[in-house]
Amino acid sequence: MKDKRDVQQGTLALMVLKTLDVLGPLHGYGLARRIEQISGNLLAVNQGTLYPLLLKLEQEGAIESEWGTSENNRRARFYRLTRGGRKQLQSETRDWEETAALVGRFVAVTPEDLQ
Amino acid sequence: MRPVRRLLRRITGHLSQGRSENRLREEMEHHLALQIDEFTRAGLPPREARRQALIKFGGVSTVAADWRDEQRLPIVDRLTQDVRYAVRQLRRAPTFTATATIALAVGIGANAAIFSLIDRMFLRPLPVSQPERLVVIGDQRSQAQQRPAMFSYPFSVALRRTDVLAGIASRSAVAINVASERRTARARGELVSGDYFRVVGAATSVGRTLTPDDDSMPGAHPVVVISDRFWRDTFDADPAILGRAVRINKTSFTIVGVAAPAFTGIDVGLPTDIWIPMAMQREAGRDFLTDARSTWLELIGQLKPQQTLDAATAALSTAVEQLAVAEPTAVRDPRRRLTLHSGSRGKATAWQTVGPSLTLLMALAGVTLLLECFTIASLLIVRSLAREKETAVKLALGARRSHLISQCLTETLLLSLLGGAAGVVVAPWVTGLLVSSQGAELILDTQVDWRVFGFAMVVSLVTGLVVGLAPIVASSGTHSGRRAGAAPAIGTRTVSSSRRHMVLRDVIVACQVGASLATLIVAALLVQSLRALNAIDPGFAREQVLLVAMDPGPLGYDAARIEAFWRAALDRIAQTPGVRFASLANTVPLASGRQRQPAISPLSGNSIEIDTNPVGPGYFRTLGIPLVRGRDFSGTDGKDSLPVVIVNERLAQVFWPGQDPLGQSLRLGSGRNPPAEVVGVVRDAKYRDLRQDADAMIYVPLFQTTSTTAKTLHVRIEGRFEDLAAAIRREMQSLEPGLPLFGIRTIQDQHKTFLAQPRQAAAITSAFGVVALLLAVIGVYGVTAVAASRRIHDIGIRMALGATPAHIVRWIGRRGLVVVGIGLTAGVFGSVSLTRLTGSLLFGIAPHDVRTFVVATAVLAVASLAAIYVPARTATSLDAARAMRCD
Repeated sequence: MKDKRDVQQGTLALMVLKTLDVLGPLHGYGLARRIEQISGNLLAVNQGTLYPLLLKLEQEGAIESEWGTSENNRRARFYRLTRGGRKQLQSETRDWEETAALVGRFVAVTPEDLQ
Repeated sequence: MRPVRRLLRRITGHLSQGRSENRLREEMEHHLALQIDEFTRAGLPPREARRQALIKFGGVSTVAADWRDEQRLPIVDRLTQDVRYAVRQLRRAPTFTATATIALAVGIGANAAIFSLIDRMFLRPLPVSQPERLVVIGDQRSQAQQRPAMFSYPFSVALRRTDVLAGIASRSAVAINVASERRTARARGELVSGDYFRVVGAATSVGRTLTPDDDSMPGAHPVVVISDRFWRDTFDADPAILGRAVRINKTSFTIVGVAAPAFTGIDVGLPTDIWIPMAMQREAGRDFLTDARSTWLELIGQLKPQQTLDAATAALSTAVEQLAVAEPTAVRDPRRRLTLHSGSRGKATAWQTVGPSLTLLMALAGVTLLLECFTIASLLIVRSLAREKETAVKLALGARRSHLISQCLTETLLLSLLGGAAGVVVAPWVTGLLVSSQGAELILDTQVDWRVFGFAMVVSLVTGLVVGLAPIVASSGTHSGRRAGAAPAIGTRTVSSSRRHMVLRDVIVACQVGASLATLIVAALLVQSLRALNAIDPGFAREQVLLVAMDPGPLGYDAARIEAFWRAALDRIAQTPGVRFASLANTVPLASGRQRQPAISPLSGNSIEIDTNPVGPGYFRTLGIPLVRGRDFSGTDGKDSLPVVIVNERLAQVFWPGQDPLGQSLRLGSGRNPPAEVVGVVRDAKYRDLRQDADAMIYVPLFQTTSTTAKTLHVRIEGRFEDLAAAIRREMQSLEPGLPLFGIRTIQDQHKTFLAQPRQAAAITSAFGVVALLLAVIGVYGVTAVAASRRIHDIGIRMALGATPAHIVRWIGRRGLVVVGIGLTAGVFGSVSLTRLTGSLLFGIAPHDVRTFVVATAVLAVASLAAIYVPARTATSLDAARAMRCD
C-alpha cells in the first residue's frame, strides 16, 4: 500500500514541475485541474494531497510562491518554477525516461531474449 | 544540499507555525470556492456542488495534518507530546517520583564524585601544551615499585646536556617556610631546572616563566613563579604581583610570574605553591650541587616531534653509556638501566594511598546504582501491570507500538535525567568529603566540569534506558497479543504476559536481595575492622597531647643557636598555664616519615637498620609512654655529657635477650660515633602502623645530635586544645617572629587521620548497605503486594470457603519466600568472593567471618519476612465479598 503511494507521490511531483514549466505560474486549483485533465484519474479525487506536496517542493527550493489575484478576483497563492526546479525537472525527466525505458525492455522481454 | 535546505526551512517553519496555518486555510478555501463555482456552472445545485467539491478535495483535516508534518518537525512535536505525557505521569505519582529521583541522585552523584576523583588523578591529561610528548625518566626498579626514580644533581646536569630528547627538566619537591608582608606559612616548593616550564609546556597567566637564565649561577637569581592558588590565597590575586618580594626560608625572592590557573605542577593531588630555580637550591634548603651520591631529583623530558618512546629509550641508554665514559664522576651507577614512560597525565603520588579505597568505592557505588535500577525497574513493572488495560485500549485504538515504547522510555529517561541533575548537584559535595577524608595529603579541585557532567549525563541516560527497557521487555507479551487482536487483553489479562512479568521481577528482586546481602556483609566486616583498629593500644597517650611542628633550619642558625632556640621554646611553653609537660621529637607516631640508623647488633655483630627518634627531655612522660626501667632523658643530656640512649622493650629483646639492657652500650650510625649507654627502657609504642607490632626503637637525646631539621613540639595539656594552641602560637611568635608553626593538631587528630581511610570505607559502605537493605525490602514488598493484588479474586473465594488469615498469608507469601531464599543463597556465595577482595582492608577479622555472615543474613531475612508479611496480611483484611466482585 505504502509503496504504491510513494510512487504516486514521486510521479505527482514530476507532474507538478512539468505543468508549471509548460504553463507558467498557477495557483493550487489551476494546477489540480490541469493535472486532472492530463493524468485522468490520478488526481480526480484527493486533490488536497497536492498542498503538502507543494509545500515540500517549495521547501526544497524547486518552486516558489507568492500571493496574487486569481481569475475570479480572489486572493490566491501562485506557484512558479525556480531555476533549481527547472534543473530538478530535467534530471527527474531523464531519470524517468531511463527507468521507463528499462522497465519497458523488461516488460517486453520474451523467453527467447534471455537464452 | 536539498535535504539540508529542507531541514532548515522546517525548523523555521516549526518556529513560525501560526501564520502558515492561515495560509493553508486560505488556499483550501480558494480551491474549494473555485471547484464549487465550476460544479455550479455545470448545473449542480449549490448544496450538491459543495458536497462534491469536498469529496473531490479529500479529507480536509488529513491534508492539514500532512501539511503540518511537511511544514514542521513532526519528531519534535511527538517528543514534546511524550515529554508532556511523561511529566503528567510522574506528577501523578509524586512519592514514586521523589523516591526514585532521590535514589538516583545519590547513586549517580556518588558515581560522578568518585569518577571525578579518578579522572582528575588518573585519566585526565595534564593542562599543558603538549601532554602527549611528556615522558618521565625512570629505571627498572622504580617501575617495578611504582615510585619515581631519583637522580643526583650532577647526573641531571650531564644528561640534560645531551640531545636525546627535545628537553629534559629536573624537579624536586621541597617544604619551605614562606613569609610575605602579612603572614608566614609552610608551603610546598618545587626546585626546578631553568627549562622546566618549557619542557613541561606550562605557561603563566601573569608575568613570565622561569628560564634557563634564572638557573645559570648558584644563588644569583632569587626569582620565583607562584601558583594561581597561592597568588589568590596569599596575595588576594593582587594584579600588581610582579616584582613583589616573598621571603623563602631566610632569602628574599622576587615574584616574576603566576602560573596558569589550571597548572599545579606535574604531581596531581600534591599541588606546588612556588617554583624556585634549581640554582637557588641552597637558599631553598637543599645543597647538593656537587653531590653525585645523593639522588633526589626527578627527571621529566619532552619527546622530539615524531619521536617514539622506544626510539627515545634506546637513545637514552646510548647516551648514558657515553656519559659513563665521558663523565664518570656524574654517572655513579653506569649499569642502571633507564626507562621512559608517558608523563601525559603527570604522576599521581597520592594514587598509591587512595587508589585501593577509591576502587572499592567505585565498585560499591556502581553496585548501588545497579540496585537502584533494579528497584525502579521493578516498581515500573508493577505499574505497567496496572496499566496493562490502558495499553491494550491504546493498541486497539491504533497506537503504534513504537510510540508506546518511546513514551515509556521518555518517562524513565526524564526520571533518570532528573536524578542525574540532582546527582551533579550532590557530586562536588561528595568529592569534597572524599578528598578531605584523605587528610591533607590530597588537594584537588572538587568543582564539576564538563567531563564529570558528561559522565553523569551518560550514566543517567544508560540508567534511564536500562530502567525503561525492563518493563518493555516484560510487557512484550501483551503487545504480541496484538496480532491475535487486542480484545482479549482488554477483558482479561493474557496469561503469558503476566507470567513473564512475574518471573522477570522475581529475578530482579532476588538479585537485589543477594546484592544487598553482599553490601551488608562488606559493611559489617569493615565496621568491625574499624572497631578492632580503634581498640588497639598504640602504646602512647591518645588524648591531651598537642603537636606543633616548626622548622628552624631555614633560619640559617648553627646547631648551637638552634638548640638554644628549642630550649628557650620548651621553657616558655612549660610556663604557659594549662601546660603540664612539654617536649619535642623528630618523629611523630602514626605520621609519615621515619628515621633509621645502622646499629651493631651485639648478638651477630652485624649492622642493622633500626628506627631512631631524637627526642627532648621529658618526652616519655609527655607522650605517656611508660618508662619500664631506668630514667627519662633530662635537660642535662647534652653534647658535653656522656652519650646515652633509651630503648624500647622490643629492641632490648632483640639485642640482649634474657639480659638486663640497662647499662649496656650501643653504637649507632657509622663507626665514628662513640658508644652510648642504655639508661632506660620504655614500653613499645606503635609509630608506623597500628596493625603491626611495634618496631624496635632507639631514642636518642635530641640535644646530643646536631640535627637542624623540622621538629615537633609535644605538649601535654589540660584544658581546651584551641586555647592552648593559640597561647603556644603567641609564645613562639614572640620568641622567633617569622618562624611558621605548622601541622598544629592533637595526638587524637593524628590517630584519627591515620584511621581516616578505614573509617571512611566503613562509613560509606554502611551507608550503601542501609540503602541496599531498603531497596531490597521495597523490592520484596513489591513482589508480595503484586502477588496479593492479582489474587484478590482467589483470596476472596478461599476466605469465603473458610481459609484462615494465617493460611492466606502463607499462601500469598510463598512466592516472596522463595525469591528471598534464592537471593540470600546467591548473596552468601557472592559475598564469599567479594569479601576476599576486601581482605587487605580488614584488620582483626577474617574476610569469611562466620558470625558476620550469619548476622547479616539474619537481619536481611527478618527485614524481608516483615516485607512479605505486611502486604500479605493486608490482603487478608479484605472483605471477602468485595474481593470476589473485584475485577
